[in-house]
Amino acid sequence: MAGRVASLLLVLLATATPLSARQSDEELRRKIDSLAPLIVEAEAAARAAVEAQQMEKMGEGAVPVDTFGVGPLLVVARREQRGLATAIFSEALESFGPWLDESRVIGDALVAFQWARELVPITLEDEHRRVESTFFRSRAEIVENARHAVGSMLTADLAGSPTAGWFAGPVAEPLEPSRVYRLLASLPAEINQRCLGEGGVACWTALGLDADDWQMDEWYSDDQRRDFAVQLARFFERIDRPIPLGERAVADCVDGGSIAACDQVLRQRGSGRTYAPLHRGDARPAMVYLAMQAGGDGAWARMLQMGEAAPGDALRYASGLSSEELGDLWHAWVLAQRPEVQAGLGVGSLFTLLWILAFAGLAMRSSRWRLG
Amino acid sequence: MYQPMLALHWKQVRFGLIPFVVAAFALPLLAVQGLGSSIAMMDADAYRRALTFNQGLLVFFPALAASIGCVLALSSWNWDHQQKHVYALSLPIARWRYAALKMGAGAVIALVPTIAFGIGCLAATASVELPAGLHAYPVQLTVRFFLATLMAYSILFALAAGTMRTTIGVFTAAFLLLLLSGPLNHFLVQMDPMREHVHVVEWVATRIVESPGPLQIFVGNWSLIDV
Repeated sequence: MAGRVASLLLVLLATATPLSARQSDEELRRKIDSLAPLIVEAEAAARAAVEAQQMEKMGEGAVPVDTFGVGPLLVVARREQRGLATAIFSEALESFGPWLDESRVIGDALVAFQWARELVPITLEDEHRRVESTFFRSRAEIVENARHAVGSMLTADLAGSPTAGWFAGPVAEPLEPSRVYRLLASLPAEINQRCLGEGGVACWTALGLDADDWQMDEWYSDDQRRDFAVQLARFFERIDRPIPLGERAVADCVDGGSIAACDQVLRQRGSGRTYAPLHRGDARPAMVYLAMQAGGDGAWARMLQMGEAAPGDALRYASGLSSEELGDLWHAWVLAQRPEVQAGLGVGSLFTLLWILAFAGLAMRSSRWRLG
Repeated sequence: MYQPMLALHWKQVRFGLIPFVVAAFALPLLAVQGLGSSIAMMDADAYRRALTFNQGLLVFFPALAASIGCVLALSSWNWDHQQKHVYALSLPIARWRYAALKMGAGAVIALVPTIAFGIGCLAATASVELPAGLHAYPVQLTVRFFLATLMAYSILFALAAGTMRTTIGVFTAAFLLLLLSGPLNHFLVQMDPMREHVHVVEWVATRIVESPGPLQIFVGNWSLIDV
């Protein structure tokens, strides 16, 4: 509530006060800045109110909870769901190797678990993750959620390191691995197509490992880069905005077809990260997970030792494999994730035909003409 | 006997089918909009946005097939209902044969929007240049569209062919299932607390839409362009 009041004040101030000549932008900015502490205070008050409400509800609901260990995890669950939580987390932990025990965060943090018709607040003061869902979710989904909670705890181990910045996701097999295949196959970057066909170093490069900020020429062909730079220049021309790309470079790229000029145009538009193939989704976290599985016992500890190292170096050291071997590993994994195209049309169409015949049979047997 | 039935049904439904035929042709073209232009081919973000947008459109494919099936089924019995079945009763033909001929006529008419859909798919896939990892599936999608249309058609046809009592019975059973699922779940949980995670309506719905259920054709992969 307090947060809303503060936001309302801010909106009122911004809208009701006329922007006159006397009131410069600087003044307005100062006034808005002066509201910032008020907003922070209001947000803290709102959080405290919600927590108090939860505590009150906990007291009313009086749902007893247990804290217990499942492998290296500390789980907090409703007492009657202790067995269920143990089964779910045991299943989730099966996909991790012995290296999981080497995590610093996992041994310390708590995981709140419940899977019930109605969720009750389980309030935890220490650092924690939550795996909570109503029964509308299937058991398989709950296990996946548990697996990802563990994966995100592993990621927290690497917080602030270049590797964590590179993969930005939970260290676990992706929830929908087929999406990684789709991402790889559907992006037309030349390197993606090479990765799909060759694996190895091509996949390593497509994942942006050992990359400096600019690898456009390794990721995309000359034609692709030229084409994109021309489109970009035309876009700025069409919207009639000053071209921030350097008129000379644009002219050399568009009219002269110079690839160096086109690269210059693209560089001015954004960093290599803007264009990096496979920098989204679960492609990179999957590589970390596979590298850890390959590294086995001690892999995560080695990963933690390489905290400040570049992602490529950290993965090689932790897994004990070369870039090419890791690229091949990822390639084999991603090929296995190819989704079933036009799923259900094969045998499924036979079933559909049988159902159609069954309904036709029902229609022929219907009794509309029977009188009396 | 079959040709008059076909002519009669076609006469009944031809104008009503026009918007569906147009939609069947246009939807695949809409689904590839934004793909294949050079900017989309290059920029990962633009390509992802275009693909996501197109995936969102895919729900309209099964919806269109179901709508066409419903229109065909209801129009096939419309004339009989209006004439109180007098004409049908006057024919020297068994009831089952009459229903079979009528259903066959509707199935043939379903080919009209299906062909429009197929042409739309072929035109759409011809209009885009796909990267090496992607493929177009116009024929498979057209087959799926035809089967889905026939499925919806046969269900509605069977319901419309029956008595009002049968129709009411079917809908009452579905309604009762929805209404009683709460108490039924409660009862099951009382019997066995581990059953808390089983929901009767969800279970039934899953059986219907998953293979080998009757509606599985509607929930499969309807992508025109896929890996």
